[in-house]
Amino acid sequence: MTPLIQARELSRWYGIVMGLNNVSFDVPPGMTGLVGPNGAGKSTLLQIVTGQLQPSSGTLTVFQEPPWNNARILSRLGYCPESEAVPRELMPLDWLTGLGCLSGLDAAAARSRAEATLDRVRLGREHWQRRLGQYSKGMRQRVKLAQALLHDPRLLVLDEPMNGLDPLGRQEMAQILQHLASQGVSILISSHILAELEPLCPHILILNWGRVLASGGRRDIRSELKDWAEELSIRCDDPIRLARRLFEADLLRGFDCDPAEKTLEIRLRDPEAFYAQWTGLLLSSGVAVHEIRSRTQSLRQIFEKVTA
Amino acid sequence: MSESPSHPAAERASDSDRPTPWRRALGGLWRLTWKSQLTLRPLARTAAFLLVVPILAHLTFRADQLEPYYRWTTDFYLLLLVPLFCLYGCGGLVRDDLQGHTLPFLLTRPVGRARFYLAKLACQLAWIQMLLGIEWLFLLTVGLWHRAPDAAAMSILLLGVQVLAVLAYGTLSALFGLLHSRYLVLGLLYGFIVEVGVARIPTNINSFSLSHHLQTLLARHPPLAELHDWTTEDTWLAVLVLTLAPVFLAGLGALIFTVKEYLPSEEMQR
Repeated sequence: MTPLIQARELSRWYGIVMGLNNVSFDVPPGMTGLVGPNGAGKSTLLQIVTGQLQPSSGTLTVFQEPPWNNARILSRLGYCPESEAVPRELMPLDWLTGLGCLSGLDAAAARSRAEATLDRVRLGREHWQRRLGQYSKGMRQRVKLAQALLHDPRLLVLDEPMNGLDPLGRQEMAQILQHLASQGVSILISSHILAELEPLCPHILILNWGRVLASGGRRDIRSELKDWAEELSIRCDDPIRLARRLFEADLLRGFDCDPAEKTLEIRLRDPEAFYAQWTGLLLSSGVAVHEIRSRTQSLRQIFEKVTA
Repeated sequence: MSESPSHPAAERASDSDRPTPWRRALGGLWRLTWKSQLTLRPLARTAAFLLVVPILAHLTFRADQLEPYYRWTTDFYLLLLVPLFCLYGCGGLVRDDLQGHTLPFLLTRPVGRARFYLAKLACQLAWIQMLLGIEWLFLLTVGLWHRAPDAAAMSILLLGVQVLAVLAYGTLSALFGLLHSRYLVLGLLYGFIVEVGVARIPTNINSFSLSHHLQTLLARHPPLAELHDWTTEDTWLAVLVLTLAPVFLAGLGALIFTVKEYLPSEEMQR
């Protein structure tokens, strides 16, 4: 399947500061999470995707075309920036109607689309007659999302849309996004909190210091991050013997053995290879295993280690 | 990367996608321009400007006197206030949205960058023309009130020259805004050096200043020409310069806006 976004050897620098450093990745249709700590290069990447910045070197295409100054591509994109800023003096319908016209709708259609999208993001009609400057953070996030949806985009690019929302607001935003995804809108969403995106996004792209640390499905990411991805704690009757067998099979990056507690904590070199050989190795070693626990319970833990 | 199932978004990507037509881009930007201007603070600033000048003029005029009225309307209003108003109004064409962090909402619409810049400039110029048209009416009223000689005839010429002045100074100011965040300083420096300094050099070099050409057109009114010692030589050159300069400056601005990135400074530093 053709990826929506393709980056090849993409770099972007600001003077001597690297925003993105020679990254290559594909973003498939569907919902993709872009995760990384502050300063990882997420916003830079999203600004290149939405045609606000140009690559310093390499290429990035959206729907197989470069997005810079490309109105055809922008007609398929909706963008919600990270900044909280909105035109404080305007009322939401006026702002959205103006932006709707800019997106190619006539004035009447823009007005009705503005009303429909404000309903879609669940901004109560009682707030429509207030100026945007009087809105709470959560309400602004909703209006920002509404402006991105005005022209029915096929790809929605959201830069930290959950920022500043309370737990209920985050939950509602997640519901809105899931509903959009179910209607066929592809979504590229960034966050510095992986836990927010893990349940939402089948695909994850992890950035740090301008580099892609991992990309793909959640399982792929665990595999790609094999240096950190799998840590197992094994309780058995002879941890030293088991460690030796595993080490001889070149399956471990390292281990901690506690003969007194009869536990072995191992860090896997290649989880796929490990699980392929594990049963045979265990049987041949004659070690009785009582319990195996994965110490890596979620992508969040991986992410924290990777970006530490 | 794992294979994903076919997704409706990918299938819909081949639908027709067209850039926003000129008319709708203009309509959207015009709506955003006047809606944001007709709010409390901008309205108060504009009203203050529109009222202060005719009130001051009213207080300083003496009935039946020619010179004070002409000095107010040309030296002070047309050659000083109009350029400053254009600098203030058009210099922030892109910068205001940039500094307010609202530019990304506009730049990510399906409008080419050149078209966006030109449409936004056109809306801002139209807005300024409207405001200064009202100001012109106020000044005309004051002139007629004080029975300034030949006020009506001079004012019609003044309006025509004012329209050209707004186009020229507006497009120039927008260009300053594109070039630097301190466009006000840049514009004032330009004003002092070129519009005040170079314009007074009594050689052909004064053709580089827009005010020289405005004076040439104003000199079509004999009492004004006599009062200021302006000549009507090169009237056609003046018309040509004041007509082509906005076209050139707007085109140059569109070119710069097409190749230059505009993001809030902290984004660039991050």
